[in-house]
Amino acid sequence: MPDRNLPDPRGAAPQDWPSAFARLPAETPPADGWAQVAARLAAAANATPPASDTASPAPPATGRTTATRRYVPHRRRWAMAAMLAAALPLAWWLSQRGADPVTPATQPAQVVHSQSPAPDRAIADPLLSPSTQASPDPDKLADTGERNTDRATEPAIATAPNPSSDANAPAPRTVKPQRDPSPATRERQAPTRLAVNEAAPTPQTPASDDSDAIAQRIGELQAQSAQLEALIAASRDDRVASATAAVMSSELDQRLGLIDATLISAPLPASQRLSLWQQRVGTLRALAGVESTQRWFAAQGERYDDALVRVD
Amino acid sequence: MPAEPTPSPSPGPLPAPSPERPLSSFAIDVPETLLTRARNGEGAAFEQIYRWFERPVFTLAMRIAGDRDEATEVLQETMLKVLTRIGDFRGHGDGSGTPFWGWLRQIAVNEALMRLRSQRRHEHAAEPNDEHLADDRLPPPPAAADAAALGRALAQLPAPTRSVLWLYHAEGYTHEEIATLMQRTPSFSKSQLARGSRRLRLLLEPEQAHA
Repeated sequence: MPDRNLPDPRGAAPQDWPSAFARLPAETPPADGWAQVAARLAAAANATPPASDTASPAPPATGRTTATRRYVPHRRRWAMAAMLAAALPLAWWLSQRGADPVTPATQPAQVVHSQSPAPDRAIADPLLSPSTQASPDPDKLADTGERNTDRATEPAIATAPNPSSDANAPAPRTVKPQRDPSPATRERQAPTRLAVNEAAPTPQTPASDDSDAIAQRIGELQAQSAQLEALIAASRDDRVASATAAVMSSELDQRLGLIDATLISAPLPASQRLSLWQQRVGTLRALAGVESTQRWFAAQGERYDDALVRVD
Repeated sequence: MPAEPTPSPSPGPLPAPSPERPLSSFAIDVPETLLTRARNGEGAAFEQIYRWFERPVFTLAMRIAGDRDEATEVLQETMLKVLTRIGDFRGHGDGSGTPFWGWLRQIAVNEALMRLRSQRRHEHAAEPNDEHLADDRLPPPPAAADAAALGRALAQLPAPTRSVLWLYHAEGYTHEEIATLMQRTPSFSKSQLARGSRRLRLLLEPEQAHA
């Protein structure tokens, strides 16, 4: 070649193979890698027996996907498809939920759970029993409000009559007061609790089911949390985020971080963990709403900021 | 969450490369505070660790597997193992143990090589081991300065040969360590290194190689 003796335009030749290899650019990993890892971590944590649930709460995922291009290995596509299939009914339910003025009567009972003290012993054992997971008792009773310290003689607290639908659809309205554990909030919740009792005048079962109900409820909330995280991971796209929406998302992420820090800080009583998991699901639901709304407006060619100030 | 400081190259890599060798791309010092947070199960700490190491792990997996899908799975499995077993890591900060990045890299290399073995790609590399005395000390050709050309040439090599080249030249492993990792002999590593170097030279400058 005529230009063989000219200076190499690519720069000085490497002195050895390590130098040559060091010049190779790093490969770019898939943009949604963290979201997938986080979802698998959450799923693994949810599948962990309750003994570890007590010791180390499920590692939550707060990751953000940085692009919408979804790179899915062929061996993982079935898992992603299953995850999205599970999330779609939730998204539909959320959209229906906004237009539904009626809150299920069973949801306020969760607030009562979160405020009621429970002994530590009530956390793990019920979840170890597959029967309690597989066949939750729909006749578990509405909470009568005040509790005694002797759990063996007190009535069971209220649980959702339909755990399957409850797992996918906790009421946002009931989650919001839980973020504020002030006495005033508890007072505001009292009428709701009475309404629950009137709405579900079913016979009461022994208090041994109390821990079952809490553990089962926590399991349901963890499943909801994983589903919502998957939904958020699928709907997030930083390219369409406005400053306002980014701030909102960031605040919700920060709230999630605080909840997670509390969850992992130390083994907590079952009632507190239940409350925290309810708050986590509520925050995730709000975050999913923000993210999906952003995507919706972006798809419509509009901006989230405009929607925030529009009054029509 | 307070932002962790920017990762810095580690002064103490493992295995210690010779001074003329570049540091591994894994050589990132992870603060003990971040490790503590991760051991406590903090999601933000998990993500931070993932973000710091996803590119080195993915690059290593690409060099070994040569396939993006496979490399993605290696990345995910590696990170899952690291994050779920991070409580088992005790070598950081005691002055004598393995740095965190070395521990993570070992998991990544094992994961990638395990997949390579499971696909029986090594069968293609069952060739004589008497080449290592030939030319593995020769410098690379000038064309190796072209990173794109070098990357294409690497991609054309058999996976075991490419793995040996990368582990030896880029990550600083010795032949004995590579032999252990690949469940082969040191002679295998040396021969693959010689074979790979020669093929790279041929691919980069065919006229020179034939001359």
